[in-house]
Amino acid sequence: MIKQLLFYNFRYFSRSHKFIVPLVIYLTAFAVLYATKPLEAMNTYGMTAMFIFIIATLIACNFMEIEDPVQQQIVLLSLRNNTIYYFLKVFFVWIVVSVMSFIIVLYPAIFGFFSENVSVGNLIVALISHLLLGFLGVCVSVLFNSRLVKNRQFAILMLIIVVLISVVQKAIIIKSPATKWVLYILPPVSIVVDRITNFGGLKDAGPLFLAFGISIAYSFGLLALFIKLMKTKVF
Amino acid sequence: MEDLIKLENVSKDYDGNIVVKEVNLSIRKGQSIGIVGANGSGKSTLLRVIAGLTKVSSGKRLQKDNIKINYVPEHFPKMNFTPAEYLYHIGTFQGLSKSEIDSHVEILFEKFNMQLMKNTMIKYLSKGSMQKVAVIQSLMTKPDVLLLDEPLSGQDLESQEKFVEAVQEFRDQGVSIAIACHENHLIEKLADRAIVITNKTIHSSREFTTKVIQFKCEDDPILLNTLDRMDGVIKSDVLKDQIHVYVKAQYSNELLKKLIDRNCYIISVNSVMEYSD
Repeated sequence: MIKQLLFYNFRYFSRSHKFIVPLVIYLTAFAVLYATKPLEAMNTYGMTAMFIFIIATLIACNFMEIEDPVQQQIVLLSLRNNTIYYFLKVFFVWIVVSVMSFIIVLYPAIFGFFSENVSVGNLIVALISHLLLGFLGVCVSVLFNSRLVKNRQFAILMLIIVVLISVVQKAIIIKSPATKWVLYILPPVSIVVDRITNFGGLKDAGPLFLAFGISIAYSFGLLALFIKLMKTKVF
Repeated sequence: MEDLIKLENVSKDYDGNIVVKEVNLSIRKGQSIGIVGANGSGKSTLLRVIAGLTKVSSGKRLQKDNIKINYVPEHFPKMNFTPAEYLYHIGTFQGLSKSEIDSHVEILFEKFNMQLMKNTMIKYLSKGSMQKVAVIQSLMTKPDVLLLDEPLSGQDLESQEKFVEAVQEFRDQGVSIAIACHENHLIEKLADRAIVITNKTIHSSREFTTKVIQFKCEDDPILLNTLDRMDGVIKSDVLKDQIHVYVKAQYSNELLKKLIDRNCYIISVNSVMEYSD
Protein backbone atom coordinates (compact mmCIF):
# COMPACT_ATOMS: atom_id res chain seq x y z
CA MET A 1 0.00 0.00 0.00
CA ILE A 2 2.84 2.39 0.86
CA LYS A 3 4.51 1.88 -2.49
CA GLN A 4 1.19 2.32 -4.31
CA LEU A 5 0.37 5.52 -2.43
CA LEU A 6 3.81 6.98 -3.14
CA PHE A 7 3.42 6.10 -6.82
CA TYR A 8 -0.02 7.71 -6.85
CA ASN A 9 1.34 10.86 -5.21
CA PHE A 10 4.22 10.94 -7.66
CA ARG A 11 1.91 10.66 -10.64
CA TYR A 12 -0.44 13.30 -9.25
CA PHE A 13 2.36 15.76 -8.53
CA SER A 14 4.41 15.20 -11.66
CA ARG A 15 1.36 15.71 -13.86
CA SER A 16 0.37 18.93 -12.17
CA HIS A 17 2.13 22.20 -12.95
CA LYS A 18 2.72 22.84 -9.26
CA PHE A 19 6.22 21.42 -9.19
CA ILE A 20 7.52 23.83 -11.84
CA VAL A 21 7.88 27.02 -9.76
CA PRO A 22 9.76 25.33 -6.87
CA LEU A 23 11.98 23.54 -9.37
CA VAL A 24 12.81 26.77 -11.20
CA ILE A 25 13.57 28.52 -7.90
CA TYR A 26 15.75 25.60 -6.83
CA LEU A 27 17.72 25.54 -10.07
CA THR A 28 18.10 29.32 -10.14
CA ALA A 29 19.33 29.48 -6.57
CA PHE A 30 21.66 26.58 -7.26
CA ALA A 31 23.10 28.35 -10.29
CA VAL A 32 23.46 31.69 -8.48
CA LEU A 33 25.00 30.16 -5.37
CA TYR A 34 27.61 28.21 -7.26
CA ALA A 35 28.24 30.82 -9.94
CA THR A 36 31.45 31.79 -8.19
CA LYS A 37 34.02 29.62 -6.55
CA PRO A 38 35.83 28.78 -4.39
CA LEU A 39 33.43 28.87 -1.46
CA GLU A 40 33.83 28.00 2.19
CA ALA A 41 32.22 24.58 2.62
CA MET A 42 30.35 24.60 5.92
CA ASN A 43 29.27 28.23 5.53
CA THR A 44 27.83 27.39 2.14
CA TYR A 45 26.16 24.27 3.47
CA GLY A 46 24.57 26.39 6.20
CA MET A 47 23.07 28.61 3.53
CA THR A 48 21.89 25.74 1.36
CA ALA A 49 20.35 23.95 4.33
CA MET A 50 18.35 27.08 5.07
CA PHE A 51 17.39 27.26 1.42
CA ILE A 52 16.25 23.62 1.47
CA PHE A 53 14.03 24.44 4.45
CA ILE A 54 12.43 27.25 2.48
CA ILE A 55 12.04 25.26 -0.73
CA ALA A 56 10.57 22.35 1.24
CA THR A 57 7.86 24.61 2.63
CA LEU A 58 7.06 25.82 -0.88
CA ILE A 59 6.89 22.33 -2.39
CA ALA A 60 4.76 21.03 0.49
CA CYS A 61 2.45 24.05 0.25
CA ASN A 62 1.89 23.39 -3.46
CA PHE A 63 1.61 19.64 -3.11
CA MET A 64 -1.06 19.80 -0.43
CA GLU A 65 -3.39 21.71 -2.76
CA ILE A 66 -3.22 19.57 -5.89
CA GLU A 67 -5.51 16.71 -4.90
CA ASP A 68 -9.19 17.55 -5.32
CA PRO A 69 -11.13 17.24 -2.01
CA VAL A 70 -13.62 14.82 -3.58
CA GLN A 71 -10.75 12.65 -4.76
CA GLN A 72 -9.26 12.78 -1.26
CA GLN A 73 -12.57 11.48 0.08
CA ILE A 74 -12.58 8.56 -2.37
CA VAL A 75 -8.99 7.65 -1.53
CA LEU A 76 -9.57 7.87 2.22
CA LEU A 77 -12.59 5.58 2.02
CA SER A 78 -10.69 3.13 -0.20
CA LEU A 79 -7.62 3.04 2.06
CA ARG A 80 -9.49 2.91 5.37
CA ASN A 81 -6.31 4.20 6.98
CA ASN A 82 -6.23 7.96 7.41
CA THR A 83 -2.94 7.94 9.31
CA ILE A 84 -1.01 6.26 6.50
CA TYR A 85 -2.58 8.56 3.92
CA TYR A 86 -1.56 11.77 5.68
CA PHE A 87 1.83 10.43 6.75
CA LEU A 88 2.69 9.44 3.20
CA LYS A 89 1.77 12.88 1.89
CA VAL A 90 4.49 14.30 4.13
CA PHE A 91 6.88 11.46 3.37
CA PHE A 92 6.46 11.84 -0.37
CA VAL A 93 7.32 15.54 -0.32
CA TRP A 94 10.28 14.76 1.91
CA ILE A 95 11.55 12.24 -0.65
CA VAL A 96 11.39 14.95 -3.35
CA VAL A 97 13.18 17.42 -1.08
CA SER A 98 15.74 14.76 -0.13
CA VAL A 99 16.70 14.25 -3.77
CA MET A 100 17.23 18.00 -4.05
CA SER A 101 19.27 17.89 -0.84
CA PHE A 102 21.56 15.15 -2.10
CA ILE A 103 22.25 17.09 -5.27
CA ILE A 104 22.86 20.40 -3.55
CA VAL A 105 25.25 18.78 -1.03
CA LEU A 106 27.16 16.39 -3.28
CA TYR A 107 27.45 18.43 -6.46
CA PRO A 108 29.75 21.17 -5.13
CA ALA A 109 31.85 18.65 -3.19
CA ILE A 110 32.36 16.41 -6.24
CA PHE A 111 33.03 19.23 -8.70
CA GLY A 112 35.41 21.18 -6.46
CA PHE A 113 33.44 24.30 -5.67
CA PHE A 114 34.95 24.63 -2.21
CA SER A 115 38.20 26.21 -1.13
CA GLU A 116 39.19 23.02 0.66
CA ASN A 117 38.41 19.31 0.38
CA VAL A 118 35.33 18.41 2.28
CA SER A 119 35.89 15.57 4.70
CA VAL A 120 33.51 12.63 4.79
CA GLY A 121 32.44 13.66 8.27
CA ASN A 122 31.57 17.18 7.14
CA LEU A 123 29.73 15.78 4.14
CA ILE A 124 27.63 13.51 6.36
CA VAL A 125 26.85 16.39 8.73
CA ALA A 126 25.83 18.55 5.78
CA LEU A 127 23.64 15.85 4.30
CA ILE A 128 21.89 15.06 7.57
CA SER A 129 21.25 18.72 8.26
CA HIS A 130 19.73 19.22 4.81
CA LEU A 131 17.52 16.16 5.20
CA LEU A 132 16.39 17.25 8.65
CA LEU A 133 15.67 20.84 7.67
CA GLY A 134 13.87 19.58 4.57
CA PHE A 135 11.69 17.40 6.77
CA LEU A 136 11.12 20.29 9.15
CA GLY A 137 10.07 22.54 6.28
CA VAL A 138 7.54 20.00 5.04
CA CYS A 139 6.09 19.46 8.53
CA VAL A 140 5.71 23.21 9.06
CA SER A 141 4.09 23.83 5.71
CA VAL A 142 1.50 21.05 5.75
CA LEU A 143 -0.16 22.62 8.79
CA PHE A 144 -1.19 25.56 6.62
CA ASN A 145 -3.14 23.52 4.03
CA SER A 146 -6.59 24.65 2.91
CA ARG A 147 -8.50 22.12 4.98
CA LEU A 148 -6.98 23.44 8.18
CA VAL A 149 -6.73 27.11 7.24
CA LYS A 150 -9.59 28.01 4.92
CA ASN A 151 -8.43 31.56 4.16
CA ARG A 152 -5.60 30.93 1.68
CA GLN A 153 -4.18 34.44 1.79
CA PHE A 154 -3.99 34.30 5.56
CA ALA A 155 -2.43 30.82 5.45
CA ILE A 156 0.28 31.84 2.99
CA LEU A 157 0.99 35.06 4.88
CA MET A 158 1.33 33.20 8.18
CA LEU A 159 3.53 30.55 6.57
CA ILE A 160 5.84 33.19 5.11
CA ILE A 161 6.07 34.94 8.48
CA VAL A 162 6.86 31.67 10.30
CA VAL A 163 9.48 30.70 7.70
CA LEU A 164 11.16 34.10 7.67
CA ILE A 165 11.30 34.51 11.42
CA SER A 166 12.56 30.92 11.81
CA VAL A 167 15.37 31.64 9.41
CA VAL A 168 16.46 34.93 11.04
CA GLN A 169 15.57 33.81 14.57
CA LYS A 170 19.12 33.96 15.88
CA ALA A 171 19.73 37.46 14.57
CA ILE A 172 16.51 38.74 16.20
CA ILE A 173 17.40 37.15 19.54
CA ILE A 174 20.89 38.69 19.48
CA LYS A 175 19.40 42.13 18.82
CA SER A 176 16.56 41.69 21.29
CA PRO A 177 17.24 38.94 23.89
CA ALA A 178 13.81 39.33 25.48
CA THR A 179 12.20 37.83 22.40
CA LYS A 180 13.95 34.48 22.79
CA TRP A 181 11.19 32.89 24.91
CA VAL A 182 8.67 33.63 22.17
CA LEU A 183 10.91 32.84 19.23
CA TYR A 184 12.05 29.50 20.60
CA ILE A 185 8.59 28.11 19.89
CA LEU A 186 9.25 28.60 16.19
CA PRO A 187 10.93 25.92 14.04
CA PRO A 188 14.59 25.49 15.14
CA VAL A 189 16.11 26.38 11.75
CA SER A 190 18.57 28.94 13.09
CA ILE A 191 19.97 26.56 15.68
CA VAL A 192 20.70 23.84 13.11
CA VAL A 193 22.16 26.29 10.58
CA ASP A 194 24.31 27.85 13.28
CA ARG A 195 25.70 24.44 14.32
CA ILE A 196 26.55 23.40 10.75
CA THR A 197 28.19 26.71 9.92
CA ASN A 198 30.34 26.51 13.05
CA PHE A 199 31.03 22.80 12.83
CA GLY A 200 34.72 22.27 13.30
CA GLY A 201 34.91 18.55 13.92
CA LEU A 202 34.18 16.05 16.67
CA LYS A 203 34.51 18.66 19.43
CA ASP A 204 31.35 20.29 18.11
CA ALA A 205 29.46 16.99 17.85
CA GLY A 206 27.55 17.45 21.11
CA PRO A 207 25.89 20.76 20.25
CA LEU A 208 25.33 19.53 16.69
CA PHE A 209 23.49 16.38 17.79
CA LEU A 210 21.48 18.42 20.26
CA ALA A 211 20.39 20.72 17.44
CA PHE A 212 19.54 17.68 15.30
CA GLY A 213 17.59 16.14 18.16
CA ILE A 214 15.58 19.32 18.69
CA SER A 215 14.84 19.51 14.98
CA ILE A 216 13.72 15.87 14.82
CA ALA A 217 11.53 16.19 17.91
CA TYR A 218 9.98 19.43 16.67
CA SER A 219 9.30 17.93 13.22
CA PHE A 220 7.68 14.80 14.56
CA GLY A 221 5.63 16.89 16.95
CA LEU A 222 4.33 18.93 14.03
CA LEU A 223 3.72 15.76 12.02
CA ALA A 224 1.68 14.22 14.84
CA LEU A 225 -0.30 17.44 15.16
CA PHE A 226 -0.92 17.54 11.41
CA ILE A 227 -2.22 13.97 11.29
CA LYS A 228 -4.43 14.49 14.32
CA LEU A 229 -5.91 17.72 12.98
CA MET A 230 -6.57 16.28 9.53
CA LYS A 231 -8.34 13.25 11.00
CA THR A 232 -10.46 15.47 13.23
CA LYS A 233 -11.22 18.24 10.79
CA VAL A 234 -12.28 15.90 7.94
CA PHE A 235 -14.14 17.78 5.13
CA MET B 1 -31.24 -6.19 11.74
CA GLU B 2 -27.72 -5.00 12.43
CA ASP B 3 -26.98 -1.27 12.30
CA LEU B 4 -23.84 -0.58 10.32
CA ILE B 5 -24.03 3.19 10.62
CA LYS B 6 -26.27 5.17 12.92
CA LEU B 7 -26.95 8.87 13.09
CA GLU B 8 -28.38 10.09 16.39
CA ASN B 9 -29.83 13.57 16.38
CA VAL B 10 -27.18 14.70 13.92
CA SER B 11 -26.95 18.26 12.70
CA LYS B 12 -24.42 19.74 10.32
CA ASP B 13 -23.69 23.34 9.59
CA TYR B 14 -21.02 25.19 7.63
CA ASP B 15 -20.01 28.45 9.36
CA GLY B 16 -23.36 28.68 11.09
CA ASN B 17 -25.37 27.85 7.99
CA ILE B 18 -27.43 24.75 8.93
CA VAL B 19 -27.53 22.16 6.17
CA VAL B 20 -29.12 19.24 7.98
CA LYS B 21 -30.63 19.24 11.46
CA GLU B 22 -31.60 16.61 14.03
CA VAL B 23 -31.39 13.64 11.73
CA ASN B 24 -31.97 10.18 13.15
CA LEU B 25 -31.16 7.47 10.66
CA SER B 26 -29.84 3.93 10.64
CA ILE B 27 -28.13 2.16 7.77
CA ARG B 28 -28.93 -1.47 8.45
CA LYS B 29 -27.17 -4.47 7.02
CA GLY B 30 -28.68 -5.47 3.69
CA GLN B 31 -31.07 -2.54 3.62
CA SER B 32 -31.24 0.09 0.93
CA ILE B 33 -32.47 3.65 1.32
CA GLY B 34 -33.38 6.25 -1.23
CA ILE B 35 -32.80 9.86 -0.24
CA VAL B 36 -35.00 12.33 -2.07
CA GLY B 37 -35.30 16.07 -1.82
CA ALA B 38 -35.04 19.26 -3.80
CA ASN B 39 -31.74 20.68 -5.03
CA GLY B 40 -29.83 22.10 -2.09
CA SER B 41 -31.93 20.21 0.46
CA GLY B 42 -28.89 18.54 2.04
CA LYS B 43 -28.87 15.14 0.33
CA SER B 44 -25.16 15.23 -0.53
CA THR B 45 -24.24 16.53 2.91
CA LEU B 46 -26.29 13.76 4.50
CA LEU B 47 -24.46 11.17 2.42
CA ARG B 48 -21.10 12.61 3.43
CA VAL B 49 -22.18 12.55 7.07
CA ILE B 50 -23.19 8.91 6.67
CA ALA B 51 -19.80 8.17 5.09
CA GLY B 52 -17.97 9.91 7.94
CA LEU B 53 -16.41 12.29 5.46
CA THR B 54 -17.63 15.34 7.26
CA LYS B 55 -17.67 16.08 10.96
CA VAL B 56 -21.09 16.46 12.54
CA SER B 57 -21.79 19.76 14.26
CA SER B 58 -23.93 18.10 16.91
CA GLY B 59 -25.31 14.67 17.66
CA LYS B 60 -23.52 11.39 17.16
CA ARG B 61 -22.43 9.30 14.24
CA LEU B 62 -21.82 5.69 15.19
CA GLN B 63 -20.25 3.10 12.95
CA LYS B 64 -19.63 -0.61 13.30
CA ASP B 65 -15.91 -1.42 13.31
CA ASN B 66 -14.10 -2.27 10.10
CA ILE B 67 -16.87 -1.72 7.62
CA LYS B 68 -16.01 -0.92 4.06
CA ILE B 69 -17.73 2.04 2.48
CA ASN B 70 -17.66 2.75 -1.25
CA TYR B 71 -18.80 6.14 -2.45
CA VAL B 72 -19.88 7.69 -5.74
CA PRO B 73 -19.64 11.47 -5.45
CA GLU B 74 -21.99 13.82 -7.25
CA HIS B 75 -19.20 15.74 -8.97
CA PHE B 76 -16.30 13.54 -9.93
CA PRO B 77 -13.18 15.71 -10.28
CA LYS B 78 -11.20 16.23 -13.46
CA MET B 79 -7.80 14.63 -13.08
CA ASN B 80 -4.58 14.04 -14.96
CA PHE B 81 -5.10 10.29 -14.96
CA THR B 82 -6.61 8.02 -17.55
CA PRO B 83 -9.49 5.83 -16.31
CA ALA B 84 -7.18 2.81 -16.55
CA GLU B 85 -4.50 4.46 -14.41
CA TYR B 86 -7.00 5.87 -11.96
CA LEU B 87 -8.78 2.58 -11.42
CA TYR B 88 -5.45 0.83 -11.02
CA HIS B 89 -4.61 3.16 -8.13
CA ILE B 90 -8.03 2.90 -6.51
CA GLY B 91 -7.93 -0.87 -6.92
CA THR B 92 -4.58 -1.07 -5.12
CA PHE B 93 -5.92 1.15 -2.33
CA GLN B 94 -8.89 -1.21 -2.00
CA GLY B 95 -6.49 -4.12 -1.57
CA LEU B 96 -6.72 -5.74 -5.00
CA SER B 97 -3.75 -7.33 -6.73
CA LYS B 98 -2.75 -6.21 -10.21
CA SER B 99 -4.31 -9.26 -11.87
CA GLU B 100 -7.56 -8.75 -9.95
CA ILE B 101 -7.64 -5.11 -10.96
CA ASP B 102 -7.01 -5.99 -14.59
CA SER B 103 -9.85 -8.48 -14.71
CA HIS B 104 -12.36 -6.39 -12.72
CA VAL B 105 -11.60 -3.28 -14.73
CA GLU B 106 -11.85 -5.07 -18.07
CA ILE B 107 -15.29 -6.41 -17.18
CA LEU B 108 -16.51 -3.07 -15.91
CA PHE B 109 -15.11 -1.10 -18.86
CA GLU B 110 -16.96 -3.42 -21.20
CA LYS B 111 -20.15 -3.27 -19.17
CA PHE B 112 -20.18 0.52 -19.20
CA ASN B 113 -18.86 0.93 -22.73
CA MET B 114 -15.64 2.62 -21.68
CA GLN B 115 -13.09 0.54 -23.61
CA LEU B 116 -12.37 3.30 -26.11
CA MET B 117 -11.93 5.90 -23.39
CA LYS B 118 -9.85 3.98 -20.90
CA ASN B 119 -6.61 5.64 -22.04
CA THR B 120 -7.97 9.17 -22.36
CA MET B 121 -7.20 11.62 -19.58
CA ILE B 122 -10.20 11.94 -17.27
CA LYS B 123 -10.07 15.73 -17.54
CA TYR B 124 -10.88 15.42 -21.24
CA LEU B 125 -13.86 13.09 -20.79
CA SER B 126 -17.50 14.17 -20.97
CA LYS B 127 -19.47 14.61 -17.75
CA GLY B 128 -21.26 11.32 -18.27
CA SER B 129 -18.04 9.42 -18.94
CA MET B 130 -16.41 10.92 -15.86
CA GLN B 131 -19.39 9.83 -13.82
CA LYS B 132 -19.00 6.31 -15.25
CA VAL B 133 -15.45 6.27 -13.89
CA ALA B 134 -16.85 7.38 -10.53
CA VAL B 135 -19.35 4.53 -10.63
CA ILE B 136 -16.82 1.94 -11.77
CA GLN B 137 -14.42 2.74 -8.94
CA SER B 138 -17.21 2.06 -6.45
CA LEU B 139 -18.03 -1.30 -8.04
CA MET B 140 -14.51 -2.73 -8.07
CA THR B 141 -14.84 -4.37 -4.69
CA LYS B 142 -17.86 -5.42 -2.69
CA PRO B 143 -18.38 -2.99 0.19
CA ASP B 144 -20.53 -3.24 3.30
CA VAL B 145 -22.15 0.10 2.47
CA LEU B 146 -22.47 1.69 -0.95
CA LEU B 147 -23.25 5.41 -1.02
CA LEU B 148 -24.37 6.93 -4.30
CA ASP B 149 -24.84 10.64 -4.92
CA GLU B 150 -26.65 11.32 -8.19
CA PRO B 151 -24.89 8.35 -9.82
CA LEU B 152 -26.74 8.58 -13.12
CA SER B 153 -25.87 12.19 -13.78
CA GLY B 154 -25.08 12.62 -17.49
CA GLN B 155 -25.18 8.91 -18.31
CA ASP B 156 -26.78 7.32 -21.37
CA LEU B 157 -29.75 4.95 -21.01
CA GLU B 158 -27.72 1.82 -21.58
CA SER B 159 -25.23 2.73 -18.88
CA GLN B 160 -28.07 3.58 -16.52
CA GLU B 161 -29.48 0.09 -16.98
CA LYS B 162 -26.07 -1.50 -16.50
CA PHE B 163 -25.59 0.56 -13.40
CA VAL B 164 -28.94 -0.53 -11.95
CA GLU B 165 -28.07 -4.18 -12.68
CA ALA B 166 -24.71 -3.86 -10.97
CA VAL B 167 -26.17 -2.19 -7.89
CA GLN B 168 -28.99 -4.72 -7.72
CA GLU B 169 -26.36 -7.47 -7.73
CA PHE B 170 -24.68 -5.85 -4.75
CA ARG B 171 -28.02 -5.48 -3.08
CA ASP B 172 -28.74 -9.18 -3.59
CA GLN B 173 -25.38 -9.90 -1.95
CA GLY B 174 -26.44 -8.04 1.18
CA VAL B 175 -24.69 -4.74 0.58
CA SER B 176 -26.41 -1.80 2.27
CA ILE B 177 -27.13 1.01 -0.10
CA ALA B 178 -27.98 4.67 0.30
CA ILE B 179 -28.74 6.52 -2.91
CA ALA B 180 -29.50 10.20 -3.33
CA CYS B 181 -31.09 11.15 -6.62
CA HIS B 182 -34.04 12.76 -8.33
CA GLU B 183 -35.00 9.76 -10.43
CA ASN B 184 -37.97 8.09 -8.77
CA HIS B 185 -37.70 5.01 -10.96
CA LEU B 186 -34.19 4.46 -9.67
CA ILE B 187 -35.32 4.75 -6.06
CA GLU B 188 -38.14 2.33 -6.75
CA LYS B 189 -35.78 -0.22 -8.32
CA LEU B 190 -32.99 0.00 -5.78
CA ALA B 191 -34.43 1.11 -2.45
CA ASP B 192 -36.53 -0.64 0.18
CA ARG B 193 -37.59 2.70 1.54
CA ALA B 194 -37.22 6.36 0.78
CA ILE B 195 -36.56 9.26 3.09
CA VAL B 196 -37.52 12.76 2.12
CA ILE B 197 -35.44 15.75 3.15
CA THR B 198 -37.34 18.99 3.45
CA ASN B 199 -36.54 22.00 5.63
CA LYS B 200 -33.12 20.50 6.36
CA THR B 201 -34.45 17.41 8.09
CA ILE B 202 -35.99 14.05 7.34
CA HIS B 203 -39.72 14.50 7.28
CA SER B 204 -41.06 11.15 6.36
CA SER B 205 -39.96 7.69 5.63
CA ARG B 206 -41.77 5.90 2.88
CA GLU B 207 -41.78 2.18 2.39
CA PHE B 208 -42.46 0.53 -0.89
CA THR B 209 -45.29 -1.60 0.46
CA THR B 210 -47.46 -1.81 -2.63
CA LYS B 211 -46.91 -2.91 -6.21
CA VAL B 212 -49.12 -2.02 -9.16
CA ILE B 213 -49.25 -4.73 -11.80
CA GLN B 214 -50.65 -3.73 -15.16
CA PHE B 215 -51.66 -6.64 -17.36
CA LYS B 216 -53.94 -7.88 -20.11
CA CYS B 217 -55.78 -11.13 -20.14
CA GLU B 218 -57.82 -12.87 -22.82
CA ASP B 219 -61.38 -13.40 -21.71
CA ASP B 220 -60.95 -14.98 -18.25
CA PRO B 221 -63.99 -14.23 -16.07
CA ILE B 222 -62.85 -16.58 -13.32
CA LEU B 223 -59.62 -14.60 -12.93
CA LEU B 224 -61.43 -11.28 -12.89
CA ASN B 225 -63.90 -12.54 -10.29
CA THR B 226 -61.31 -14.02 -7.98
CA LEU B 227 -58.60 -11.36 -8.41
CA ASP B 228 -59.72 -9.18 -5.49
CA ARG B 229 -59.80 -12.21 -3.19
CA MET B 230 -56.24 -13.34 -3.96
CA ASP B 231 -53.60 -13.13 -1.26
CA GLY B 232 -52.25 -9.59 -0.78
CA VAL B 233 -54.49 -7.90 -3.37
CA ILE B 234 -55.70 -4.50 -2.16
CA LYS B 235 -57.85 -3.55 -5.14
CA SER B 236 -58.10 -3.87 -8.92
CA ASP B 237 -59.22 -1.49 -11.65
CA VAL B 238 -60.25 -2.32 -15.18
CA LEU B 239 -59.30 0.32 -17.70
CA LYS B 240 -60.38 -0.47 -21.26
CA ASP B 241 -58.65 -3.79 -21.95
CA GLN B 242 -56.05 -3.47 -19.21
CA ILE B 243 -56.23 -4.39 -15.57
CA HIS B 244 -54.38 -2.59 -12.80
CA VAL B 245 -54.11 -4.58 -9.63
CA TYR B 246 -52.68 -3.14 -6.39
CA VAL B 247 -51.02 -5.83 -4.33
CA LYS B 248 -48.89 -5.83 -1.17
CA ALA B 249 -45.22 -6.02 -2.14
CA GLN B 250 -44.51 -9.32 -0.42
CA TYR B 251 -47.30 -11.02 -2.44
CA SER B 252 -46.44 -9.52 -5.81
CA ASN B 253 -44.22 -12.35 -7.02
CA GLU B 254 -46.85 -14.93 -6.21
CA LEU B 255 -49.52 -12.99 -8.06
CA LEU B 256 -47.27 -12.46 -11.07
CA LYS B 257 -46.68 -16.19 -11.27
CA LYS B 258 -50.42 -16.88 -11.21
CA LEU B 259 -51.07 -14.32 -13.94
CA ILE B 260 -48.31 -15.74 -16.13
CA ASP B 261 -49.63 -19.29 -15.57
CA ARG B 262 -53.03 -18.07 -16.82
CA ASN B 263 -51.38 -16.71 -20.00
CA CYS B 264 -51.84 -13.10 -19.06
CA TYR B 265 -49.65 -10.49 -20.72
CA ILE B 266 -47.76 -8.42 -18.13
CA ILE B 267 -47.39 -4.82 -19.27
CA SER B 268 -45.64 -3.28 -16.23
CA VAL B 269 -44.86 -3.64 -12.56
CA ASN B 270 -44.32 -0.50 -10.48
CA SER B 271 -43.87 0.31 -6.82
CA VAL B 272 -46.07 2.70 -4.97
CA MET B 273 -44.81 4.51 -1.91
CA GLU B 274 -47.02 4.42 1.13
CA TYR B 275 -46.24 6.59 4.12
CA SER B 276 -44.91 4.80 7.15
CA ASP B 277 -43.43 6.88 9.98
